[in-house]
Amino acid sequence: MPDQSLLEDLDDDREFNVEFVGNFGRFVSFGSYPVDYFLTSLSMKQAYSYLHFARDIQMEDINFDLLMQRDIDEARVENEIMPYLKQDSGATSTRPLFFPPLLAAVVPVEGGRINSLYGSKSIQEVKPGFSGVSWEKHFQVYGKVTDKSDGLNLAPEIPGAPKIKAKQAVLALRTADVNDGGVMLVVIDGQHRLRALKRLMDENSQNIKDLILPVCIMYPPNSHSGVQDPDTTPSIPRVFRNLFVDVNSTMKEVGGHFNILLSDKNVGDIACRVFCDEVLKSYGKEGLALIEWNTRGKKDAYNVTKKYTSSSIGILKRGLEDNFKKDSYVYRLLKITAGSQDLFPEGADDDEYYPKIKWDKFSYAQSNSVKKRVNDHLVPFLLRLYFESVPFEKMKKVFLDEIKALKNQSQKGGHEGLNAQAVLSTILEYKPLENKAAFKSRMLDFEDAVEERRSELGLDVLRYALFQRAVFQALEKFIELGISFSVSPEKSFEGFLTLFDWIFENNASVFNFDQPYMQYTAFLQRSIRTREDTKRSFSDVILANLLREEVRGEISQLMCPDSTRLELDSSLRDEGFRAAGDLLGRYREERKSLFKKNFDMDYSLEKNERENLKLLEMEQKAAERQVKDGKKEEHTIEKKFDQKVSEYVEEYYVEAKVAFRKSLNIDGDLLEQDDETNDDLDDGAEGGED
Amino acid sequence: MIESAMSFRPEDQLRIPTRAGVYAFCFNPFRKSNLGLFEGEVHADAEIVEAKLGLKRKLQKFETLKSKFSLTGRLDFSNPYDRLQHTFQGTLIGKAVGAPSVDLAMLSNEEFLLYLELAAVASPLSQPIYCGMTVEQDLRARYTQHLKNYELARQRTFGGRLAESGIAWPDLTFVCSPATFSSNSEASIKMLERHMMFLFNPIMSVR
Repeated sequence: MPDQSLLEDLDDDREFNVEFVGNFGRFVSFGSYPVDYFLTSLSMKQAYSYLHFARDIQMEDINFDLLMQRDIDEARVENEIMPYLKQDSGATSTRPLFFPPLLAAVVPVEGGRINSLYGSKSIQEVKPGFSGVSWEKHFQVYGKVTDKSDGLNLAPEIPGAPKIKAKQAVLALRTADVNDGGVMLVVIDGQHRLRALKRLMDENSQNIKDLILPVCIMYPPNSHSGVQDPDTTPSIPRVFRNLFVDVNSTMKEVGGHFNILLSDKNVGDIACRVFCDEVLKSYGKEGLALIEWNTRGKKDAYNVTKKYTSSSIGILKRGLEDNFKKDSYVYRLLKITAGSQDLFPEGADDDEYYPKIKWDKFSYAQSNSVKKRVNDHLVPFLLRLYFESVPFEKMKKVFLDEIKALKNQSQKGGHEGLNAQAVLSTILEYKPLENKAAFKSRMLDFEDAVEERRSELGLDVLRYALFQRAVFQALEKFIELGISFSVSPEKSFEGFLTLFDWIFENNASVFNFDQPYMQYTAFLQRSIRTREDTKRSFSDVILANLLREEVRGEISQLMCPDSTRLELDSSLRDEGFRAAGDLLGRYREERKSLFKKNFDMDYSLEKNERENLKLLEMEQKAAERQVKDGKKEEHTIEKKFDQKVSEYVEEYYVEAKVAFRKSLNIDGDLLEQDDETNDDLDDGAEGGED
Repeated sequence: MIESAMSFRPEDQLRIPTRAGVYAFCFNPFRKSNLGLFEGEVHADAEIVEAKLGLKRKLQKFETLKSKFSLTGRLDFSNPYDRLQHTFQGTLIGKAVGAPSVDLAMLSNEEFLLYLELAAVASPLSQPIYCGMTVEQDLRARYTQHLKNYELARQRTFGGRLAESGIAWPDLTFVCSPATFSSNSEASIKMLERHMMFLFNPIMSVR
């Protein structure tokens, strides 16, 4: 919707097509890289046409910080800002409303991509008595020449540059929508406000037609192609990335994933942010699109909510936090020792450099080193797990194949091309999908295609948050064993990944919901049981695969030198038995508990069986009431109902155990374990033992 | 019949017997993995330098702990020609002898690694820093209680004192002698603890 009033007079020969009148100024402090600005006001019509969102332009070297700040919280726009602007509508308006100025950057754009520098800078006399500075083919600032002391020099580095009256300057732009290779005004602070205003314009422009927006337009005047050494000159993207992150990093109203990403208070939160950053660097936007990182709802933040994603940073955070908070793990995983000079410099003050680092306790001075260690030692493993391990690599391939199909389609043009482009923008650029049936239909097709192929590959279990958290729990066992054998965390990771990959290459059906042992322990029919025990069950099934000699041998060889290999092999086998036994014990308990609750609706039992059970239950309850009333001693009552239930459950148990042994392909028997043998440690008496 | 004490590293916690008995904590700063040197790895020079520095710091902390004694007293000076009594009083701050850690830099990388191998075997010879006994509680539960006190830095506990000293829990070895007889032998266990205190003089036990 270009501003026709300005375009009508546009002469084809003119270099610039839009002009704003306002005040010119410069921000420079202690030798900082100068940023010039221009304060002006825009009508809503102008704002709609000329102000753009950061996500509207593509950047070659976008990093995760910038991507995160570009994300627009549509719920906040709809539920907070739009209602604010709409209040008092219909009534006699007495309530004043105001927005602080939007901050917009002058960004050179070509072919939808941001250029690194403005055109060459030069002094120009625009008309008699008016002089200014032009950045070739991009923009110009000029004003009335003055010799007075309050005049501002537009280009102090150019000898003889004129001084102008700062309060009556003109900013002329060659806009990219009319001239490719021109500039765009990209809002770097206030994009939620702008989004709300644009949506209100779409709804009914009459209601805000009188609104004139305060806008501050900024640009780095020295980032132009005429500089002596363009390689050492800060590029436009770099300058605005810094400013963009600076002005947005103080945002307070965040939720869901943003609470994690904006926190640097503990190792888990730092790991999530560094992980996203590294995913973007190593696997590009396509890779990052596989990880959910910008969900704002609290509950959704800890699940996989999109059909095409592999995981979510909420799961990552919980997986790490649930298992690796212990000091010994923090030290091992981040390779911290008493001799780590970066964290514990010689002679450092204990308040500035804490002598002991914990998961959520390190000083500001230590936080950069912690972040670096997370980047160097922890994140490489997470990348391997989520992008290179057998099952996640398959998921990535399915996703990339479908993205490729979308890209091919988008290049063909036509309606189908437009639909594909809209879906790509939503998935890779995080732009909201417009409310058009064709777009939505294409998105559904994309999601269905990903889902179908994933199912065919037997990867559905990966999408459960509880399964992914179980992966971390099983990994913790490897780290623990590694510590016990003085093995580096890297080797423990490798050992774990060897097992994980082996399972998905050779025995992926071990997790299927229709396996008898997975029922009650993790699933009820086809539905997953959303509770912590399900996580334990998945973890136990992963670790029970250590009973397979072929993979265990490979892991032992990888993790340990000759001298301790047999011992490690034996420990891994014990862990496999422990895990299998725990799962079977859990199966029996859960089966029993649910049988008791549901036997009267269990039509696999004969009617007389159900009635008999009901009778026994009533008798037992009556006897138990007498015990509670003190009329009988507990040891005198017969628990015939419990006994009968146990008889039934024994049959199911044997069936589950046989199936589990078959899944694990082992000849020996499995020993069921009681929960009490889980070695949950007693906290012991409280203090004061001296 | 158990003929020698059983020793456990922190990662062996779940193997500690669930029986009564006497126990001690020994300081063992020599474990390679706690210094960042893992089994089966080729160690880079920088890793060995860091390990030396780490061990030096551990030994210095122990030295500081051993130096935590002082002598406070008063001396009365009398002179047959002076009727006034002169008194001298004050506190002498303790200083443990020797600072072995500074010598580490003299060792080449190979020598240092050999030194650590030898130290790993020699560490059972170390003097306990804390001795105790359990009768009602079992040894594992008592160990866990000490660990929790350490993690929470609880005042007036061994764990709290250890945390304050800067000595890291992973640098301890738990040595114990579990009772093989019934717990009515409380008197034997208590007597043995007293004798252990006398013989080993553990610097972090409160007597």
